[in-house]
Amino acid sequence: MSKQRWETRPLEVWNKAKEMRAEWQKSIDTASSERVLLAQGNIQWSIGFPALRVIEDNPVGAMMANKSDEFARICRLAGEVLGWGREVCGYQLNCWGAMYLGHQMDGSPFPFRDLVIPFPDPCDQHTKRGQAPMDYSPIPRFQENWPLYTGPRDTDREKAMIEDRVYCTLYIIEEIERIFGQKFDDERLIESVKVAGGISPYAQDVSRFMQHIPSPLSQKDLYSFYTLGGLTKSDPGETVAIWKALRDEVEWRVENNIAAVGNERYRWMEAHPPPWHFLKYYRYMEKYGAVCIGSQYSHMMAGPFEIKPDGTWAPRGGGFRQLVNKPIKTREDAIRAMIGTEARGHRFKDDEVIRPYALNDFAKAYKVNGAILPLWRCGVGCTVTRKEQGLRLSEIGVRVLHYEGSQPGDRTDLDENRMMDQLDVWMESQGLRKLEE
Amino acid sequence: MERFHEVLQNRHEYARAWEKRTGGKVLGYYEPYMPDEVVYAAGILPVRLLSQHEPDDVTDRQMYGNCACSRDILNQFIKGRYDYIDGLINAEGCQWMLNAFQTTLNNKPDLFNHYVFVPDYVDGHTSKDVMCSELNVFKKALEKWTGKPIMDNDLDRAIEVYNTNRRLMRQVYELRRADNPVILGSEAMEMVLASQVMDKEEMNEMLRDAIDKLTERKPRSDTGVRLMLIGSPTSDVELEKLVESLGANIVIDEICTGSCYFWNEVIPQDDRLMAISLRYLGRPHCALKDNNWRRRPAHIYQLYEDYQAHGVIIAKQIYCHPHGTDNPLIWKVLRERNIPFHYFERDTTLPYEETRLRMEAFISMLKPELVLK
Amino acid sequence: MITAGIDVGIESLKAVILKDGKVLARGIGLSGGVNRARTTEQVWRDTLAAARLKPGDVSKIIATGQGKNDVGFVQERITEPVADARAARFLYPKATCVVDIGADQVRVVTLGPQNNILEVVMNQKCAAGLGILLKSMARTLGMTLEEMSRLSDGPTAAAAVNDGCSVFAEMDAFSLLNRNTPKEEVARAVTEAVAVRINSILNDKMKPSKESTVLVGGLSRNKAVVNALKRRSGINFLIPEQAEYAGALGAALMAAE
Repeated sequence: MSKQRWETRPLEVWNKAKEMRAEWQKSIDTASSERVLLAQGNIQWSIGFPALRVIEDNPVGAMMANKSDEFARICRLAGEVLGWGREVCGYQLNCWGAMYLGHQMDGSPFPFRDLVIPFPDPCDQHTKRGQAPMDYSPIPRFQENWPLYTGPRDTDREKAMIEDRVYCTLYIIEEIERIFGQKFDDERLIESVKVAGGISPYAQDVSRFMQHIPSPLSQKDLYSFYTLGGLTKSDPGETVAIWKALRDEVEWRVENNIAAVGNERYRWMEAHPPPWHFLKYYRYMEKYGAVCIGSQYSHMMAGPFEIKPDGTWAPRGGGFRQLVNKPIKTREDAIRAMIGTEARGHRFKDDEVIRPYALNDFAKAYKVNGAILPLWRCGVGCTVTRKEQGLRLSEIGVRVLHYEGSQPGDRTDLDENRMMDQLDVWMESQGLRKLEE
Repeated sequence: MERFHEVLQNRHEYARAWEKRTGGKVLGYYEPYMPDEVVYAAGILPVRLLSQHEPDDVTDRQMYGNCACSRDILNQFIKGRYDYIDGLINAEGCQWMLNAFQTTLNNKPDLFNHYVFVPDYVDGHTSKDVMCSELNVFKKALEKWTGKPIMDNDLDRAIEVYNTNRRLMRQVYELRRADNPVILGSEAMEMVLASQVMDKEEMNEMLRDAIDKLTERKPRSDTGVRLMLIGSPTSDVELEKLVESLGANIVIDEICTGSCYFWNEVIPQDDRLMAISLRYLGRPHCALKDNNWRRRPAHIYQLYEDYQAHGVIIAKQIYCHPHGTDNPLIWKVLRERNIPFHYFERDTTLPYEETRLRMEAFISMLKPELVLK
Repeated sequence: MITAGIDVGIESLKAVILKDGKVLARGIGLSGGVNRARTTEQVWRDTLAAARLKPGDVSKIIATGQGKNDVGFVQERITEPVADARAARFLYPKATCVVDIGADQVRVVTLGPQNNILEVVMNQKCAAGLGILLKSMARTLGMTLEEMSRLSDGPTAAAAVNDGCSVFAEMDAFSLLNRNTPKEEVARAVTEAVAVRINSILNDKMKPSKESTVLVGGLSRNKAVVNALKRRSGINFLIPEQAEYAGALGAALMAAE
C-alpha cells in the first residue's frame, strides 16, 4: 500500500450524530406505547403537535435492506401477492410488506400509523405514498400539492400555488386538531421555523467545504448527518448545535488538509440514493484513491445550489429554505416562512425539470472527475433523466458509469460482482490501478 | 367503424392532411388531464401522443426504466413520425410521460412547449383555484404563440364540441350495456382512440353516422363472456381483438385512453376556465391522481355492475408505477366483492401465445358463471 | 520477448502467444463453467505446444475476460475494454472505436488520440443482443448457428420480437412459430432484435465513427448479425481476421509493454 498523501482522522462529532439517530428511532418504536400519534409522512409543521411522531417509509425500507435481506424479501413478496407491481419502489414494498405481515424485523409489532400527512414527493410513488396504510385500515390521509412548471420563474403564476399550499397546511392542522382532539402549539412551530433556518447556513458551509481538495468528508460521512433535521427529527436546538459542531470541525479539517481519503487522487459524485445493503463499494473505490464527494441527495440539508451568473456557488434559495427575514408572529406567518417564496422546487424531481443541468453545476463546483449514476429499474424518481444527465456530464468531460439494480432498498437485481467489475473497468479505463488490494 | 380504424392507423397522415387543409397548428400532448378545450378554442388540433410497438434502438441513450408508452413516443419523435407536431404540452401526470416530454424537447428545442400544473391533490379546496390559474397562464401562452386572442365564445364553442363528443361516446358505450351488444370492445376502443387524434367536430359527424348505423346493426347472438378492462393506458386494440377471437367481449373499460377520457362533461359557467378546471379535477381519475378519497374502486365497481361484466382484466404496463402502486386497493375491493379478475403485465410487444393462454384460461374459468348469472 | 494473453470468457477462452509483435500461436477452448481454472490450464498448455514453447519461455502473461481471476498462473490481470483497446490500435492504428460482442457482453470502447480511452459503454444486464440468445434460438429453430446466420441474412423481417429482453424475445419467437410463421422469418426477426439491442448500446454515449470502428468478439463471425447491424448503424465495421482473439491479443501486447 502506498504512503498516504494527506492525514486522515475520524470525525469527532460522529458519535453524537449516531446517538441522535438512535434516539429518534426509539421515539418511533415507543410511539404507540407512549400513546402518541404516529404519522406517516414528514413535514416541518408536524413539530407543532407535541403528541405526534413522524416516520417515512423510505428510511424504514432502507434500513430493512441494510439489515435483513431475508425479511425484506418476505415483505416484498407479501406486497406482490396483494397486488403491488413487482417493479415498485423497494422502500415502499419493504415497509408496507411488513405492515401486511404485522411485524417488524425483530418480531416486534408493526407500528401502524394513525394518520398520513404530506411529504414532498420526489417521484410518482411518493405522490401516492401513505396510501398503503390508508387503504389497509381507514385512517385520515392529508395531502398537499407540490407545484411544478417549466421555464423561467413566474411569480404571478405562483401566487395561486403558494396560497393553495398555505390554505392546505392550515386546513390540515385544523383537521388534525378536530379529528384527534390535539392542540397545535403555534409557538413551537414558530420557534422551529426560526431555529431550522439556523441549520441552513451550517449545512451549506459543510457542503461547500467539500469542494476543497482533499475533501474533508466523504459520502459515507454525509450519510451519518444528512437526515438530521430533515428525515430524522430531534430537538431543534440540539439539531442546530450538531450542525454547528460539524461545520466547525469540517472547517478545521479544511484548514489543516485533513482528508476523508488519504490518497485522494480522483473525485467522483453520485445522484440519489445508493444501494443501502452494499455501501462497501465506497471503500472499494478508496482503494483506487477515489473519494465520493456526495450527491444532491446527500447534500440535501444544504438545499439545492447553483452556479450564479457571477460564477459563485450559492444556494438556489426561495424553495427549500425558510425566509426568516420577515417577522414570524402567527401560525400563518410561520407556514408562509416555511413554504418560502418559490412555489416550485421543493422536490428533487423538480430540479430535473427546472434546471436539467443541475448535475453539471454540481460537478464543476466540486471538481469531480467522474460520476456514478445508478439505474434503478424500480425507482422511477431515482432513475428518471439519469441517462440524459450522464450525457450532459460526458459533454463537460466527466466520465460516467451506470450500473443497474432494482432500487436502493431492494437487493434483488443488483449483481454485486458485476458492479465491482464495472468499477474496475471504469477506473482502469481512466488509467488508474489500485493503490491497495 | 372502418373509418375510425383508418384514422387511428394513419393518424400521422390525418394530422398532416388537417394541417394542410386548415393551415392550423397541431399540439401533441401526453396526459389526459391536458385541457383540450382551451387548445381547441385557439384553433389548434390537440393530438394525444400514442405509442406503437416498434423495436427501438434510439431511446436507450436518453431513457432507462421507462414504460414502453413513454419510450416509444420519444422513439417516434426521433424517427420523424411526429414531424408535423408544432408544439408539446405536458399536463402534470406521471413522471415517465414528463420525462418523454422533456427528452423530446431536448431533441427538438424549437418546439413550442408548455407545462400545465394539474394538482395531484384533486380534492383540495383550493386546487381548483390553482388549476384555473394554470389554465389562465396556458391560455395566455397559446394566445402569444398563435398571435390570436381566445375569446369567451371560442371557449364556449370548444366546450360544446367536446361535450357533444362526450355525449356521443357515452351513447356508444350505452349500447354496450345491452345483453347482446351491437358493438365489439375493439370497435369501441378504436373510436375512443381515434377521437384523441382527430378534429372533434369531424369526429362528432362520424360518430353520429356510426351511432345511426349501429342502431340498425343486428346484435350478435352469442355474446360470450363479458369482460371489463382496467389498467394502464393502451394505444391499440390487440388485446381486445385477442379476447374477441376467444369468444368473449370487452364491454366496458376504465382506462385513461378509454372511457375515462370522455366520461364527464364540462358544466358551463361564466368563468369558463373554472368550468374546465372542475371538469378535469372531477373526471374519473388516473391511478396517479386517485389519492385521497379513492374514487377509482367505487367507479370501477359501478361500471362492473352497470355493464354486467363477468370478470375484470387488469392489464398493467410494466414499469407503470402509478398502477403498480394503486393495484393493491383495486385487488382488495375486487376480492372483497368476489369479482373474478386476471392481472398481467404488458410490455412493448404483447406476447401473443402467452396472452392467449391467459385469456383463454380466464374466460373458460368464467364460463360457468355465465350459465349461473 | 515472448508474452501471452489469456481471455477467459463466459463461453470460450482464448490464448495468444506473441513474440516481438508477431503471433506465434493461438488457442481456443470452451470455458468449462465451474471447471474454468482447469480448462484454462489445458488451453494454455495446448497453445504453448502449438508454439513449441515451454512455460518458462514466456516472460509475462496477462489475463483478461470475466474469468480472469480464475487464472492462477498469470502475472497480471486487466479489464476487457483495456485489452480490446490495445488490440484494436495494434490491428488498425487509425481506429477510433472498438466494439466487442461476445456471448453475454457488448462493449463499446472509444479510443483517444494518445492510446487512451475516452469512454467505455457496456450493455446492462439484459443478455438480449448477445451470443447466448442466438445459440438458444438456433436450438429452438432446430438449426446450427451457421445455418441460422445464413437463413436470416437478408432484408428486415416483417415479424418482430421483443428487443429489450432475451426471455421475452424467445417467448415472442415461440408465439410466431406457433402461428406458423416460417422459421427463416423468425430467425430474421431474432437477428434483427439482436442488432437493435447492439445498436442502442452503440448509440449510448459517443457515437462510433462510420469508417474507423473495429468489430471483434465471437459474434463478429455471424454474418447476419453484422449485416443487420451495419444496416441499422450505418457503420462499415473493420473486422480483423481472428476477431475473437482480440482480447487475448490485447492482453499479450500489454504484457510486452
